[in-house]
Amino acid sequence: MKKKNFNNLNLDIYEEELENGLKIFVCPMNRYKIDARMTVNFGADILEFEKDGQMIKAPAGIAHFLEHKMFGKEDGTDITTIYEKNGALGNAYTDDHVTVYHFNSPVNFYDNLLALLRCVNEPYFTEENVTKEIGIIDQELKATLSEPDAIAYYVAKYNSYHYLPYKYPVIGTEDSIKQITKDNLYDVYNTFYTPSNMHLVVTGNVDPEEIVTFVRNYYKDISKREKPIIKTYNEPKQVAREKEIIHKDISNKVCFLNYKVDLSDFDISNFELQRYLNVLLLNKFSSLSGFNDITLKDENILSPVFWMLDVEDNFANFGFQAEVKNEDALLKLIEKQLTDLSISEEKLKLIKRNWINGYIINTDQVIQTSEIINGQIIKYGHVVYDALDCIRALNIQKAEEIFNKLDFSNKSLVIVQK
Amino acid sequence: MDYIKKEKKNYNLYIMKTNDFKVVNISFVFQRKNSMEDELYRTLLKRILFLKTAKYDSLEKLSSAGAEIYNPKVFVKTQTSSIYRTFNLRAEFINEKYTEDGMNKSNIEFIMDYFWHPFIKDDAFDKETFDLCKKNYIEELKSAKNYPEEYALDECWRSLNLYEFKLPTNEELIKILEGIDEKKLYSYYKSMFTEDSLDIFVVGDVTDDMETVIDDYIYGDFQKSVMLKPHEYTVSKVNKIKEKTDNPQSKLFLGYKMNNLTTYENEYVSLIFAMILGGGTESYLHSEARKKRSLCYYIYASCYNLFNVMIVSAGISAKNSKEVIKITEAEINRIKNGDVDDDKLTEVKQLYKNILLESKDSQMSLINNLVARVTKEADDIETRFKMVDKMSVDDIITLAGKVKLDTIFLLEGTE
Repeated sequence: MKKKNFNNLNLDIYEEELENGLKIFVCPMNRYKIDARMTVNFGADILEFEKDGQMIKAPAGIAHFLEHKMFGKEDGTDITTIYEKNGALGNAYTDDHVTVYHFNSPVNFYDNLLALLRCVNEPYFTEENVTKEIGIIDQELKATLSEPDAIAYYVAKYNSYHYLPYKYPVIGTEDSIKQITKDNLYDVYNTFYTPSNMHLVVTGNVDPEEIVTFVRNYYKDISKREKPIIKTYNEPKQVAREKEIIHKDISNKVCFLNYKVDLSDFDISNFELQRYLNVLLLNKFSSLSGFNDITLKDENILSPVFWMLDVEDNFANFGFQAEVKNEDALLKLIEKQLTDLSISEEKLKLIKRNWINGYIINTDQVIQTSEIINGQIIKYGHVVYDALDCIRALNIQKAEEIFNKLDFSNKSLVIVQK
Repeated sequence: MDYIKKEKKNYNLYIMKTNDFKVVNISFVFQRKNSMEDELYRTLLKRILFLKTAKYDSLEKLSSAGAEIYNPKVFVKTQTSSIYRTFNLRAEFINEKYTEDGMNKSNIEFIMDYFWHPFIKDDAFDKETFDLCKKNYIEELKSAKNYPEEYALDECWRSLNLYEFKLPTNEELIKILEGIDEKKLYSYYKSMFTEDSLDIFVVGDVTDDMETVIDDYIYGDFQKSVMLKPHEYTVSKVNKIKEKTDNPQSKLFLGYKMNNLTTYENEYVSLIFAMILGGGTESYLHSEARKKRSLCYYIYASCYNLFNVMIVSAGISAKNSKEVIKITEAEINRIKNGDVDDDKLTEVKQLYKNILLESKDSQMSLINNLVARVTKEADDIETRFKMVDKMSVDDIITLAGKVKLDTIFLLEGTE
């Protein structure tokens, strides 16, 4: 087991890789709560993969559907029942990139850990239990699509892409959910739920050696399998559709603008690149930028402007959402901000300080620490132990070099209005 | 965890000292008797105070100044009982041990400037900023229905009639708002220095110089604080309200009132009762309505103990609304008739105790608990353990007999 240190944060992380490829990360912390999360590198952005030497396709939303179905077991056990009986809070979530199963509790840790391992290693799908789940997921989809913000976001995402499965909502569509069968579920389970395609993170008052022994013992009969082969796509730089208007019975218009920005031309680490992309957003659109002072005064913009960054494949998605009277006014303001991407030493210093401050505060808490560790493994493939040094090393020259290469000419706008 | 109380000339200071965390938490709790307009004035205040201060005349300058001193988190949390309303200016900042000398003082001053040194022009809030806040607030009220979950809860809450005055509708609120200007808001703000009480709470590795900074900054002739107490009601008939929406999913909210509760029932039994009924995926409602019958995607019960109210909420198809109401009533009756097992109670008690234990991991939770101990006479964490431990099935059965359905609010979707 390797012991590593998260620089300047008083955090040690113990890393181990089992014979079957499962990676384990344990971060001891002197707190009551213990958090464990098992991540499967299978999210909504994978729909085509190789099975028995042939490429096969699954319906959109299958990763999320599978997550729902992993809690029920053949002997009638429901994993959530075990968590609740043990006084733990347990759940799971699926996003575009991964599926994460997790629990936290101050007591009964090994009972809960066993439940977590069973949760991801004992599939049980029947035609009956799959059909029953369709109704529940259909309701979840309807709840998600009740709000204009969510509609605008999902449609903008869909319209931004031609081929990448990322274009579909994580939950799937009304039609795709209905197409999911137990055979589809077994196909994706057998392909992706293999130890070498997963990792476990445990944070709290625990003994790393003991955890590794426990997990190794559980996996003694589960051997290493090949890594999944996933279809790659030749996604064009252009968006699939530039504008769409959707009608719904609402009072204020809601719009979502997504810039699809090609990142294939950058030769720096993912961590560094994503930090710089965030620097751009914070410098031009956060309260540090003066952008909010402008939008607040603009009578055409009726709410705060929310922004987000998500990286998929070789593309960055810079998303902006707001309630508006006139979407052109918002567009003009955003475009104006994006025409001059220069940054001052002073602003970069403040942004770096905010991030370092965030690390100090968040690593005081178990869940947040777990999320930082897991988030880094998901995004960058490893824990970024020198994250603080990397942040301190961000500089104006590099920032401007990167910013100048970004092309913001491909965008998709969605408006939800009466 | 123990705390000390210091009675100052015009406010009370409560200090809980711990060096288990890297941060310091501060809470300034203003409180006064609740009137219909308070909600509007305090919401406007909450917005305007965070856009500019006397020292920093733009959000950009204010945010940059915050970032310069390691970005303290500052926000306002409001809480109401039937009779009183609090305005809680909350903040968390990194102890200077982890940043640089002088940061504790700079952070406390920066936080207090939001309230004690706002941006004022000619004996009023700045008109331009005020108009922006008012415009945004009105737009939010107009588009409330865009967010069906929150909208349906608000409508159910309104119908429960929990205050000494009738809660205005969003349209009525907009009309009242239109009559408020920057001068009136400033008058209201000034009145807080004489008509509100003020209690200040500090948790963390608190040093004497922090107390001095606070003392030097405070001015105002505050009232003596009063305890927030739960309210008693009568339920004569069930209010049934139905509104249409073009969303596919319907939102069902059932408002229950609980009467003649003892302090123990209000503080503990009602909470555990709501957890058994609809607190998670193993609750009675979730098992019956979702797992067994697939009638909804979610169904939860939540307890609001300052109001002696429990709300059951569910996301459903419109055609299932009657059945979900029937199931909820049947599950409550089932408990009332004694059909609740010891194991279930033990499970839920354990979950509650785990939450209590974990609250010691967070300084934010510690300050919340300290505020509740002082403003609501809530028990400390250790006492809460004991009180929950002694709860029996009979306590739950008795409580179930005191739960009465008051309001059914259905935001009816297209399916």
